[in-house]
Amino acid sequence: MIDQLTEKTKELKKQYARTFHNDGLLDFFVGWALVSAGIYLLTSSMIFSFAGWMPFILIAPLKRRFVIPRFGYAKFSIPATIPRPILLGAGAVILIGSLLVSVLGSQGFRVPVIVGLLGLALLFLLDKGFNRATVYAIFLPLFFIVGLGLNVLTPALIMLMGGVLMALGVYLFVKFLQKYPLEEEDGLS
Amino acid sequence: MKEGQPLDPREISDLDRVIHSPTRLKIMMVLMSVEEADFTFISRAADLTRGNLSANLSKLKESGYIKIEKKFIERVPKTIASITPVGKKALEEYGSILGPILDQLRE
Repeated sequence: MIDQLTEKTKELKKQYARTFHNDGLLDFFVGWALVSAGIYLLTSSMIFSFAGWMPFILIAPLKRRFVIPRFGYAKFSIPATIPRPILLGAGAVILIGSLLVSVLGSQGFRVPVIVGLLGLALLFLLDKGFNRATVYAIFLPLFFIVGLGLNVLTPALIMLMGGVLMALGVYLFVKFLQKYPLEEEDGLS
Repeated sequence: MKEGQPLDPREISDLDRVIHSPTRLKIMMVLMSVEEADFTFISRAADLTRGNLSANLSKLKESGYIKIEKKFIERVPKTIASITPVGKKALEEYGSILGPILDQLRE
């Protein structure tokens, strides 16, 4: 019985975590990153090299504004394998490293796009554990490494993929808002 | 109940009546799955109306099975509930009594 309860609570935890992350925000921003990468490859405009993945910092405020008040707040006891400061440090190293590579290197801003996406994917994987982010953490590096390696990745294809993900994100976000309308806070004492 | 011994119906009386209510059991199950949660989350996860949830949370709190506190989450005041060690123990004991009964009924 205790084992069954433990199993059940594990299932519930996964279910809650999945629902919490099913708001489309991550999908939208991954799509945005891909569209930006595609535009960069077309135009070589430096701004799109970084504009793609910098807006990821908006995810937390958007969660606070739209998701938590509707879905409710819960703290899941998923043990962090790596302390947050170390992850942030790793993020800073990736950011500075990719900037240096782009400024000092001869490969232009293609490197920071790939390194940035790889880094973000890795950080998500480390920080969030096995959930929706993991899918992107595996998908994005493969998409770019295989695509660029085989020379089959055209800007149009990248933008198409990004556009699809952005549309999916918007769809999921609207569905989330409909499914979880805003409710008043309780009057518990 | 001792392992291997036949079901003694009198042991059903030992079941914790606070937890035995389906509504409160749902709440306890939700709180076992998280470290802490707010009112909205529990209400959605356990599929309970706010009035029903409020009444049952109070009962669980009175029994010392859960802790309710006001906290600021992302600068917003929230009523946060979490299961206490006493609550965890009570849920485990409830399971240890009910489990063998259910097992025997399945045989």
